[in-house]
Amino acid sequence: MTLALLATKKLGVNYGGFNALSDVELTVAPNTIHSVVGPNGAGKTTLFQALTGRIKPSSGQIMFNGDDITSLTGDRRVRLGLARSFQVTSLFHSLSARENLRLAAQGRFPWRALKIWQGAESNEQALAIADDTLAKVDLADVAARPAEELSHGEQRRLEVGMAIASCPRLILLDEPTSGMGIDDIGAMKKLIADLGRDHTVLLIEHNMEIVMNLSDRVTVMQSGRILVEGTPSEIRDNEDVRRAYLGSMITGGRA
Amino acid sequence: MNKPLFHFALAVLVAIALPVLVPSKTLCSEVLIFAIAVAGCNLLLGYTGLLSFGQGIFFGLGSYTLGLTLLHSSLPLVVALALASIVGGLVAVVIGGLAIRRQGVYFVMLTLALAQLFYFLAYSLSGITGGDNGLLGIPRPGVGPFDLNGALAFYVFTAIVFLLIFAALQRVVVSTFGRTLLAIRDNGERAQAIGFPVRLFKIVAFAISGAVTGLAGGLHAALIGIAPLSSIDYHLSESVLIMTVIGGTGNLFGSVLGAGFYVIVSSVLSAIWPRWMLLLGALLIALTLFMQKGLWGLIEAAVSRIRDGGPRRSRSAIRPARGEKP
Amino acid sequence: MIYLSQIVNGIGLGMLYFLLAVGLSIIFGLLHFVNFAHGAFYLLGAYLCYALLQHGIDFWWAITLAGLIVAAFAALVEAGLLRRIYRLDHMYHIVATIGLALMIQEFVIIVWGPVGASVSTPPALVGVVMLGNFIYPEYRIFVVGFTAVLALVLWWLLEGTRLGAIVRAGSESSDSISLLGYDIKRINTAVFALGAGLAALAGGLATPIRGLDPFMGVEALAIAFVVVVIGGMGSFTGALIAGLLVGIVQSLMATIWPEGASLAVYIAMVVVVLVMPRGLLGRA
Repeated sequence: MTLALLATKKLGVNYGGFNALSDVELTVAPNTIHSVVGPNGAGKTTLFQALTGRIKPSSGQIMFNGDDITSLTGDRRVRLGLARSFQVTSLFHSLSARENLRLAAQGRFPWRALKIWQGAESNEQALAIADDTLAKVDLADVAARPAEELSHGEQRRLEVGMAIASCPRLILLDEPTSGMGIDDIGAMKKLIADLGRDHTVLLIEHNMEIVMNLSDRVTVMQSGRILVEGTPSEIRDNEDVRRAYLGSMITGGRA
Repeated sequence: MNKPLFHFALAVLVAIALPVLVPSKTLCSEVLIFAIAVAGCNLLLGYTGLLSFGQGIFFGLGSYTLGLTLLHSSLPLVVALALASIVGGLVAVVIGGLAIRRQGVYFVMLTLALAQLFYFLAYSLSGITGGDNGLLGIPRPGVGPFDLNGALAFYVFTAIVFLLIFAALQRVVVSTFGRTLLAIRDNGERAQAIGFPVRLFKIVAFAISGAVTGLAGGLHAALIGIAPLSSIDYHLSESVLIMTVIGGTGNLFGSVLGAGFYVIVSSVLSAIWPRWMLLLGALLIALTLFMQKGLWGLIEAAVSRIRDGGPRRSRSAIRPARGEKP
Repeated sequence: MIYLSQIVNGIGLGMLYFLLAVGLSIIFGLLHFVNFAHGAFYLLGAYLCYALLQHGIDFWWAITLAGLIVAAFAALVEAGLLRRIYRLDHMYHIVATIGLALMIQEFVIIVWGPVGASVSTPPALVGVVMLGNFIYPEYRIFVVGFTAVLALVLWWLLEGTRLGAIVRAGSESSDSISLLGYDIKRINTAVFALGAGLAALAGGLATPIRGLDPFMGVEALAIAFVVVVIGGMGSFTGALIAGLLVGIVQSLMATIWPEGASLAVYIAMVVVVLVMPRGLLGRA
């Protein structure tokens, strides 16, 4: 077994007496696509919030690349190489797609952005990453359009691009296909598969077709705990999972 | 239309045209002084998304700093102005650092309450500030060989300072820093998520805004020879904010328009009818209903209409208010 | 002993601040709307009360009528203007209500002049009460009693009635109210009128204590902001505790360092923000 890129130990989150997350032991191996699934309220988003530093865990530890990052702020974690996309598209709406990505790339070196004399166009490194990412997420044609004028599918791809542009070791994708039409889902699926080749991806997704076809490992959560973890085929055959989901969601299509 | 050089050319044009068109050179100076303060407010409101009701603090402290420096020492005017600017900037770091601990409407209310705090501080410390009377008899030393005791001479000096500040702020807003501010304005949460220490950026924006506004306050005290209590009161903060909105947020030349419009119209109207602010109130309501992008937005719309021969779908500046949860 | 007496004085003042802030707070709670004209409603309430007294109307009727007139005016403003701008950014709410506040203030100056006036204490409440060793003006006791009763009614309205449930649900989501089948527009108007009416009542009640001037609205707005920054928006208990705190601090300072009494209020706010960044009740 290779060294885990991300590992949580006994991770718990408590909201005023309610255990949103308890005893979560998640291990993500490098260069894998690891999916987290579960019904609404299972704690998937809470897990992401804790991993990205948006909320403080009430117990347990988060190890990233061998370092304890439990007490680090969100922006420190980004600089260590942990990036996320949001379930609800969260872009800089008045800025161009390219500028969105340029900023995301710049986020790894935020102190350089404090230069009040240097023009934004002189950040060659960040611009190169932005252009590279534009190609990856297939948005080069609309690079100059403000984010708010992009189509929904384009915005979702830009959202994932924002995570890619920070050149992370681990990308957390929170329901990348959320609200997407059938036609856009194919492009997103291809994008996630491409990402899996040279990145480590932790994915929350409801579309079981994507989860089952792309994942190396799948973790099923229920009521803030991990129910079971395994390869997609192990999960498909697991009795507990079948019971929790009434079968329908795991065997095919969207629930 | 949106090239920085073009906007700077417009600013130069205003600086030259003002004394030709407006008989009172003191009024001309006042326009440019407020244009500086409004541009400082715009950096926070239009570029960072921070609606600060505390700009009067920096303006007032700038006035007092310049007054005290020139009354109690023989330092040159430029040094006194630099001090006014430094004090404005430093206090802005403290005010900004405190106010951004709360977000959204709480931030706005906190800045207003802090403005009141500094007003009462200035009022209470009458031994230093002159209290209700203000600091009187501030001298106006010359700069090098140039004597500034003359309305036109002082206007020329003010215009030079104004153009320098305008160019510097233009540089700031297109810089990597300025673009990051725009990102923070659009979506602070995302800016934080991609690794920017948002608080630090906001505090730096406050520092620049405070320094610029402090400088304007200092210039104003030098212009009128007193640092009155009214330079730090609620009304001043409110006026600067109103000028920023009237001119149009997110555009530095808009700030020049806003200041020019407000200062000149208020001077004309208040001579005719002391209760002219009734009309100002009506104007603000009309502005929210019909011209949300301010004077600059009107000009932009007019220009594009002439160019395209018809109204163009403009990207709306109006976004639905993000619900602030209490 | 003087301090104890000042604390009791501070409670009277604090209850007025509570009344002022709770109006601002419920408007924000339901409408997510920062009303910068709130101080102007307070100002208008004070002057209307004064005008009614000048016409020989009894104090009770004067404050009640002043409150009702301002509430009716506020309802018109809400339905005719503010309703159209809810969907805009906060900045526009603020600009529009600053405009409204300026218009009200100038209107007051046009009608009653720029110089302030004093209002004498209603004859029935002129006396003093000896509480143990110290003297206490009857009017202040009346203010405490009256606002306490009003606070109870408000508390009942917000916690015990359907309107209250809706107002509280409104702070969650206005869509859910429409789903429940209520006419959200009417409720918005009613709540806005209620908040404005409370500000006007506070203004009327304050006149015998602090007198009148056309700029008292700005001062009241700032105090209301201090109270909600400390106590949290949309919180009845927060407004009550913070209102009393502000009133007591101000009254105590008035004997210790009179020039710094107002200053102390704002310093207290800064201390609270530094020590408890989320406000007293930690809800903000």
